[in-house]
Amino acid sequence: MTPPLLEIDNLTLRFRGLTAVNAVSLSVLPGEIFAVIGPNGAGKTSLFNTITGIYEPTEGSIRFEGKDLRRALTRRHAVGFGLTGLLVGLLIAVFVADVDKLWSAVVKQTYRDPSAGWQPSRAWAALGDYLAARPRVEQRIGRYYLTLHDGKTPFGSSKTLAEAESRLADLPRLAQLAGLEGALAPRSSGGFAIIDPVSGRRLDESPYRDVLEARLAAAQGEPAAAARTRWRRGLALLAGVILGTAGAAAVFRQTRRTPTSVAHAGLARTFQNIRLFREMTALENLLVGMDRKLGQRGRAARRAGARPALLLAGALASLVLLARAGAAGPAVIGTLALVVLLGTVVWLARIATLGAASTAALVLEAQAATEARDLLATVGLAGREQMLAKNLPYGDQRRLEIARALATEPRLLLLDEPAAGMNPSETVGLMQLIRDIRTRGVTVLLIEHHMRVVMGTSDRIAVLEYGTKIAEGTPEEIRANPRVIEAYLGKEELG
Amino acid sequence: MSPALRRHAPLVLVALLVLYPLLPFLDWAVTAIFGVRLQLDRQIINVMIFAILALALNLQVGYAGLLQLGIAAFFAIGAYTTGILTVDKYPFQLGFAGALLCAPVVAGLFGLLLGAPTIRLRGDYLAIVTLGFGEMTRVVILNLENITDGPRGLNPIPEPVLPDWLRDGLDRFLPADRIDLAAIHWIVLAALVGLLILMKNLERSRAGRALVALREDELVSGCMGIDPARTKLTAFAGGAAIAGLAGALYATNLRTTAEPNTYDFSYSIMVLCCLIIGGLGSLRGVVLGALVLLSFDNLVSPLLTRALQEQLGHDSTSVFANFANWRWLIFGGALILMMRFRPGGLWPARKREVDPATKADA
Repeated sequence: MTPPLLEIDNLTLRFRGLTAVNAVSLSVLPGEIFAVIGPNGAGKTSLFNTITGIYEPTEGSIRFEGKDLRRALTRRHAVGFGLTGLLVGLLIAVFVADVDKLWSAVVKQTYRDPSAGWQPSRAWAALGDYLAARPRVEQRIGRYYLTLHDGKTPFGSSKTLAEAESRLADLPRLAQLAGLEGALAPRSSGGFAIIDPVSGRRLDESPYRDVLEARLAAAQGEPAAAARTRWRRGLALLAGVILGTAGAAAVFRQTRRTPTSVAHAGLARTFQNIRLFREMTALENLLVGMDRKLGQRGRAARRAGARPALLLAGALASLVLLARAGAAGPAVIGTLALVVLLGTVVWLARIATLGAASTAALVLEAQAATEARDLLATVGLAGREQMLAKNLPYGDQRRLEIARALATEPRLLLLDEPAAGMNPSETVGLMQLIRDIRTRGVTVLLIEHHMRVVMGTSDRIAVLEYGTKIAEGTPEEIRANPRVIEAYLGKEELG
Repeated sequence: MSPALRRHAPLVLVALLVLYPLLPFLDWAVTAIFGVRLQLDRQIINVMIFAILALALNLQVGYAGLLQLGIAAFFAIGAYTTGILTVDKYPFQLGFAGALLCAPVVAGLFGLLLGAPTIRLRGDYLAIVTLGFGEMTRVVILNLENITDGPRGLNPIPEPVLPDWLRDGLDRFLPADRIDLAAIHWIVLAALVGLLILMKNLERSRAGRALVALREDELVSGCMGIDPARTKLTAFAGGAAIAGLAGALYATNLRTTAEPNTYDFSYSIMVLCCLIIGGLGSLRGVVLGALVLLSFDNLVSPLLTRALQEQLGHDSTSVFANFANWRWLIFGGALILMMRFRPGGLWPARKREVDPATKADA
C-alpha cells in the first residue's frame, strides 16, 4: 500500500469553548481526489485553515509526505537564537556600561594626539580596560587625570602622562596602605604625605590631610566597587543573552507552522470567498504564485553569474601579485598600484556581474511570463492575461484562483468550494479541470456542497458534522450511508 | 497631456537631461549677468536630497504599506554616521566616499534592529513604535554628548573630492566654490537618478510584485509562499538604508550634521506630507512632492514674507507677518483638500487597468 500523502491524526481545533474540529483523522493518498463534505458549519473550512497553517491545532498532528508540517528546529536555528541573544546582550551591556563614556575612553582618549595617529590595538586595549572597570589615565584639556572606574578623579591631575601613569601603578599599593597606621604622616615642610613604609617612597602628598585620607579611601574602595560594576555589566550581558535567545526562540515557536512554510512544503489552496489580488492582472496573480520558484531561479542565476567574475578577478589578482614579486621598485608605489588595479578589476567584475544578473533577471522574467501564460491557457483563461483580476467574470475568477494555487507547484491542492456560485455549464468545466489537475500529478483535497461535483469527481469522501467525522468511503458508500442522510436531511420521526 | 506637449516631450526631456546637470553653472551665469543670487543651485540640491528621503519613505509606506512615522531617525543616523566617520576629531576620517558607503549600511542595520522584533505588529502599532523610535533617536543623539557633540552637531564634514583631472580641467574656468557645489550637485543627482531607476526596476520585479501582493492580501500572499515578515523587514531595512544615504548627502551638503533637533517628529511628518501630496507609491509623485514642499519652504515662503513685511511696514515683527509660521496651517489645509479632491496625490501612479472593451477595439 502506498503511504498517504497527507495524514491527519486525531486533529482537534478549539476556540475557547467551541470545538470547530473534533478529533478528525483523515489520510489522503497520492493521486486521488478526496472530498470533504458536510452541512454548513461542520468545520470543513476550519479543517482547511488548520492544515494550511492559518490556525494552530489544539491537539493532533498533520503529516505531509511522512513529515510533520511544522518547521524542524535545526542547528542553524539554534545558532541563530544564540547570535540574537548575544547581540541583544552586548547591546544591553554596552548601554549599562554607558556608551557615551565608553566612546570617550575608547576613541577620544586613544586619539589624544592626531599627529601620532591612531592604533586600533590601543583602542581595543582601552575597550577591555573600560569594560573590565579598570582605573585608567584620561587627558582633559591638556592635563592627565587618574580616572577611577566610575569616572571620578579624586587624585587630581598631573602635567605629564608619565606622572599620571606612575600614580596608576601606585594605586594597588595605596590601597594596601589605606588600613595601615602611620602611612599618612606630616611633612617636615608642612602639609602631609603618604609614604610606603617598605620602600620609603613618597606615594602622594598634599597640604591637606583630609584630601589624602579621601584618596586612600578611594584607592581602598576601588577594587570592590570595580568588581561590583563588572558584576553589574556581566549580569546585564547575561540578562540580554537570555532575553534575546528566549525572544528569538519564542518567535520561532510561534512561526513553526505558518501559511508560508506550509506553502513551501508543497500545499496550495483556494478560498471559499475568492481572494485574488484584485488590483493585479491575471498574469501577475500567477507570477505571485510563482514567487518562490522565481526566487530560487534568480539566486541560481546570480550565483552562476558571479562565479566567472570572481574567477576573473582572482586570476588577475594573482597575476598582478606574481608580476609585483618580480619587479623591483618603491614598495609604496607598487602597493598603491596593486590596490588601484585590484579595485578596478573588482569594480569591473562587479559591473559584469550586475549586468549578467540583470540580463538574467529579464530572461527569467520573460520565461516566467511564458510559463504563467501556459498555465492560464490550461485553466481556460488564454487571452485574459492582462485583465485585472477584479474585472474577470465570476467563473474565471475561480479558475484564476486555482491557476494561482497551481503556480506554486504544489503536490496537494486544497480547493475550498470551487463550484460555489457557478452555473451548470461552468460546473461541468470545473469538474473536467479538477480531473485534469489530477492528471498533472497533483492530489486534490476538495470541500464542496455541490453534490454533482463531489460525486462526479471524488475517489473518496469524508463527511463532517459538528466538527466530527461521521463517515468516510467511496461516493457509492456515502450515498447509501444512513448517518450521512440523517446529517443532511434530518432524522425521520416515527410514531 | 496636450498633443503638442506630447509631440515635444522627448525634446523637453533631452533639454532637461543636458541642462539639469549644468544648473550650478547656469545659476552662476545668472548671478554674473544679472547680479541677483537666486541660489537655485543650493535649493535644487536640497530638493533632490529631500526627494531621496521621500523615496526611502515611499519604499516603506507606499510599497510595503508599513506606516512609518520616524523616518527622520534613520536620516539622522545617516547624517551622524557620516559625521563620526569623517570629522577630524575622530580617528576614522574615511572621507566622503567611505561615509557614503557606511551611512546606508549603519542606518539599514538600525532598521533591521528596530524592524526584527516589531515588523509583525499590525499597522497602527507599528506607527506608534516608529514614532517612539524617531523621538528616542533624537533625544539619544542630543544626550550622547561625547559621541555626537550634543546640540552643536559634528562638523566640519569634508566636501566630496573630485578626481584631479576633472578638478584641474574645471579650475581653468570656474572659481573653487563653484566646483565644490557642482561636485555635490552631480553626486546627489547621480544618487537620485540611480535610486529612481532602482525603484522603477523594483516595481516591475519579483520583489515589487510580492510587496503589492502583501499590501493587497497578506494572508493569501502567505499561502502563496511569500514570507510576509521577511519581505516587509527587507523593505523596511531597505528604506532605512536609503534614508541613511539621504542623511549622508544632507550632512555633506551642509558640512555639518546640524543640531539633533532638526530631525524631530515634524520632519518625519513633512516627508509623509510630501508623499501624500505627491502621490503615495508613485515615483514621479514623490519627486514632485519634494519639489512642491521645498519650493514652498525655500522660495514661496521667503518671497511672501518679504511682500507681507513691506505691506505691513512697522508691524513686520509680528509672528503673523512671517509666512514661515503659516507653514503647518497651509500644509494641513492642503492635505485636507487633497483628501477631498485628489486622494491619489498630485501625480498618482499610472493605473494599469486594462479595459476589456478597449482591448477588443485594438
